[in-house]
Amino acid sequence: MTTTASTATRRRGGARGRGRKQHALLRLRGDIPVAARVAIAVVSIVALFGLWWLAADVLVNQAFLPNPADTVDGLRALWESGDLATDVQASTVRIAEGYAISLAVGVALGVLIGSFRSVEAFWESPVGFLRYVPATALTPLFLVAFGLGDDSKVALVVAGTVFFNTVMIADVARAVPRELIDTAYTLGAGRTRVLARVVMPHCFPGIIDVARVNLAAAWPLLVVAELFAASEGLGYRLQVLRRLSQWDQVFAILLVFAVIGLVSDLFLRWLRNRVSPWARP
Amino acid sequence: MVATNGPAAVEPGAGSAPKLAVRDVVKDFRPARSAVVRAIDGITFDVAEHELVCLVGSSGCGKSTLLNIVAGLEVPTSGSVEVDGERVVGPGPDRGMVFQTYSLYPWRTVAENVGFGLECVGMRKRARAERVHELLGIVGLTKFADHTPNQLSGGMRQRVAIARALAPEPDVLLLDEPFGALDAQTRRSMQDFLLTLWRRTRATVLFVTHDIGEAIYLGSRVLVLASHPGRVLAEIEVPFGAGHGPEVTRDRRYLDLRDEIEDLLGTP
Repeated sequence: MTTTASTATRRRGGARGRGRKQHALLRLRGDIPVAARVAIAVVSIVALFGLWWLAADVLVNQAFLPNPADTVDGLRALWESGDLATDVQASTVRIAEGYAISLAVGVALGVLIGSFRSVEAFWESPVGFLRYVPATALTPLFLVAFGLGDDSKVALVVAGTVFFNTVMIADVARAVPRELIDTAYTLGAGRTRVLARVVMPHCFPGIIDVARVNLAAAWPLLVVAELFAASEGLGYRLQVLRRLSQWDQVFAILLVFAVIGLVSDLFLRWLRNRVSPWARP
Repeated sequence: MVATNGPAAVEPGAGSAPKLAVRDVVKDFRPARSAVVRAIDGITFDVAEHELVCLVGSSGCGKSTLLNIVAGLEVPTSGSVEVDGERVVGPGPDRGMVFQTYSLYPWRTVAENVGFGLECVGMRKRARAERVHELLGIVGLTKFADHTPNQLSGGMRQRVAIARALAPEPDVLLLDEPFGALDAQTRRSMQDFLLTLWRRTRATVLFVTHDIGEAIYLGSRVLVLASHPGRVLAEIEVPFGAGHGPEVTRDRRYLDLRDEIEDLLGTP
């Protein structure tokens, strides 16, 4: 019946006021000041490069781990040799071709699977099954089937990403609100028009987001293919530089991957907001 | 005033053929791993031309399902729906529909949303622009033609949705709790907006709501639906002609009717 004063006080917060005071930076889904945001981001970048430097010069201190300054020197050397431009171009073209095919198939198939239960029933098993075959294990097969040129690399990029693109885009299509589709039907639209004028525009931002996620998975596939057999490309260059033990330039290539990834992601984000400003988060 | 629904359908209007005829509609659902659920159990009613009929009932009375069946978006288990004597087999622009969630296309401007149905029937760009302009005038949104839906308030969005449904000149306008998501003030003004619109366009309207007051305020006739399964409990002729305004809500007959329907539905 009687509650001790201390319990009651503790429950209510007492002299410090009522309720649980919210943390300025650690409130779940809470906004933080812009200055804090910038400061935290700067700290993380400094920490990343600081750790790299520390590992390279103190903790590991081995030839195979150059520090950031050496890596920049390596990048310069690579650029001056003229190989970098050739390799970046060769790899980028292969990725672009393979990923364009993968996305085209993924969009067509994914939107149909997400829109029609019948198409879903047909493709669910094959896609679910093939998705778990590791694409990289197909590399030797593709080299025989498509030759040592670009085709085998493009094929590997397609094989390794197309099922993920399909499955994820199907989910995007399934998320189109039923009422948007029903409204179009009651306004006299047919199936094709509903797909083209309602489902596709609604899916576009989601498709771009899927493309961003899986593009990051496309690069490792290309590198594997280029390690096996190639005469140019970033994966091929990695192989050559490793044999020559030019670790500063190996790391320069890793840096190039990161920059290409970042630039392509920024481009896709720009495209998303440009084409579908209504879906801007 | 209140007529409990007998086996014979009540004929509205002066012997003229009904605009919309719903005949013995039954709808069963088969949820996975459970028994068949009867959502609608033999609903029959007519809507005469230029009439505004409200369907009122609590959740579970199948009123939205019934509206979807009239729209042709769902197929009844048995029974039929006819518009001008023609059997409904699927959705079409002759039965315009407005949902509670507005369901505007956010990538289209207000004018492009209203013009969607006109694109579907292949109307030329010039004619379409004229018709859209006329409709935006009717719903009072001419100045917002080039806005996108997310720049509009809830009430304005719903006016766009109504204009869009009216664009292909439907035989029947179907409204599924269109004002359910609006705040009380906006809701009231949208009800008056709808009444004005109805008097002006002489549209045939079937309006679904769970709000008894709204049903009496808007409808010239109110069908009270029972839940589990959905069936017509009563059909009520609302006694205030077409010209009424907000003062009606203080009318004795309005209050009596409201109490009567509340009793029918078993709500306190």
